[in-house]
Amino acid sequence: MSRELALVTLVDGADPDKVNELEESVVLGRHLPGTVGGGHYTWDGIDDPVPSGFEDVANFDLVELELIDGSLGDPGFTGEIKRTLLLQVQTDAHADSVAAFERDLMAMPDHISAIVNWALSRVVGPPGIRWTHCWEQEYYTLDGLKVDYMMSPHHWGLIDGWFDPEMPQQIVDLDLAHVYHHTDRSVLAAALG
Amino acid sequence: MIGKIHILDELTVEPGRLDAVRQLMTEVYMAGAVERGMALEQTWLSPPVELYDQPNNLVYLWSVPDAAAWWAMRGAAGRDPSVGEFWAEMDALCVERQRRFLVDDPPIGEGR
Repeated sequence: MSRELALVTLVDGADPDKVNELEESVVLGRHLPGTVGGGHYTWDGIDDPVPSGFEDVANFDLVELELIDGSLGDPGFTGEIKRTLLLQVQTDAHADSVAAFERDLMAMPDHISAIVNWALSRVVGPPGIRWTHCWEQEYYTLDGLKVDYMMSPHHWGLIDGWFDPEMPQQIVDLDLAHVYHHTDRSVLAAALG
Repeated sequence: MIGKIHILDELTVEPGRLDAVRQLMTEVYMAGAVERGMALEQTWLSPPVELYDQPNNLVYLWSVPDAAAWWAMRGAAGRDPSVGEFWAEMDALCVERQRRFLVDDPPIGEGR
């Protein structure tokens, strides 16, 4: 199963009227404060794509995703937080380490009940794209992400070792996109459905 | 609720490089670690005498007060390229290295 997703970054000095037009032309999730490295919006790839004509307003970091696995704890999810992590596994990482990293990520929902729906995908395009993986979750509340997920000992005590420049097993580049936005529907139910 | 978190660095040091590791840790890493909120609690040498033809283990036990402090430490290290460069230099002196995180073992039935 595959789909696309895009992180959208407004260009400096973008015409406000054109920004409004962009927001009205396509379903975008506006990033909340605290997001890092991923611009201003997420286009989650379940709605009509961004029409042409907005190239002077925003940059579109489009990725093609191939699902590894996912789960819908609540297919009827009606909000409120969708989170996306786009990351780059270093090119010299051993295949066994990459497989262990993917297994560890997919075990997180077993330890963090605030994760309602989730999907882990490989980034398979477009050619030359720097991202390698996309880790998405949905939460009933922002605290589910910022407290339950971030403060879980499973997260900081185990998973983060793959990301931490102080850890010998680090394989994930420090430059990543950690973004989240409000939603009133399940993107992942539509994507995995 | 998890309180104090211990950080255990276990360095398996190449024969003849113990002093170089100690010097690097003391002169390069220590000040930045303290700035990132880490407190050095203990260091150990094992076996308890320097070997000349086999590796020794140098163990450093650090702590931070809680998970929020752990993330503050982690965030600061991630923003400072010299931290990764330090560990690359350290790894060149070591056969192997591990970092573990430890918390108080919860009572039976209250496991996380």
